[in-house]
Amino acid sequence: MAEKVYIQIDNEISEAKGKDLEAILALQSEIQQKLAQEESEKEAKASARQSALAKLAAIGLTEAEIQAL
Amino acid sequence: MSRKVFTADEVLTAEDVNSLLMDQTVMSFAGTAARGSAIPTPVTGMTTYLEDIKDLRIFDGSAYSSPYGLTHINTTTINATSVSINDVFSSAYDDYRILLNLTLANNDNLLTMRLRVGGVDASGSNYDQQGIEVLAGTIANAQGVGTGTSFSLVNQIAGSTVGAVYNMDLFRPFLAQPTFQSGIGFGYRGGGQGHVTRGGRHTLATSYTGFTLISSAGLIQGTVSVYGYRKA
Repeated sequence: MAEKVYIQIDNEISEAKGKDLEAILALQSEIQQKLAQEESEKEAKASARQSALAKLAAIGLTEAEIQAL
Repeated sequence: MSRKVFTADEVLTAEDVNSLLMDQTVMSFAGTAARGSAIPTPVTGMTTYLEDIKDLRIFDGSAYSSPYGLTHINTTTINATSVSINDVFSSAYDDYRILLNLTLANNDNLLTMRLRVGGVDASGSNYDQQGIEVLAGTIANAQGVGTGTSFSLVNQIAGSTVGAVYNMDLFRPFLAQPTFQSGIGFGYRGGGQGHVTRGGRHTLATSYTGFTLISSAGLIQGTVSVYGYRKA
């Protein structure tokens, strides 16, 4: 069973229902997707960097030389 | 000097006039309605204390205004996934400071914010934003940058012993112009300490009177305070 979602308007707290609940869940879903995409892009970038560093090392560059690029 | 209450037929001395009437006169009212009834035609410099908001207001010739550079408007204790704060932006101020003091979350989350008017959040994809995050010593883009349907603010991890803070300056939300925000915060994400610096612009030229804080997962607890910057 899904956890209840509570909405607060000024000092009044109630369980979110109907359109209010839909709006919250839609935004949460949008944020989660955006964060997952950002994480995926970050991992791809890190992977490409590691690959590039390995190729530079393979052609003879030292670690200090790679750092100086 | 203690407060003096005159009795019938008592002599009003020059010392009483000087020390009581001239130096210690601040009119106290239950609220603006009571003040309006008691002073239908105020004159410049009249100083009043409003008991409902526990604050001073001085008549500047056209309106009553706060004598302070930064005036407290509202503090709300929050305990929900979505928290809407209504009617805190008005013509009294153009720019605002918002302090988020989060003490508990029941899930790891990214807190976001939407502008609001007439009981409805502005949910269109009109929130431009950028930011940087220093997470456990590594600098990178903050989470949730780029154009979206809300401003991303600060990360928080589940638990009651950690919390997060964010202080935001919000520029011109009540004016029918785009609204800007800039802010800094500290929270935790994953296993790391995170500091964020963010800025953003809501592109619609709409007047807003409040805002909504929405957790990306689970409920949050703490307080949110709103202050207005004096215009001039």
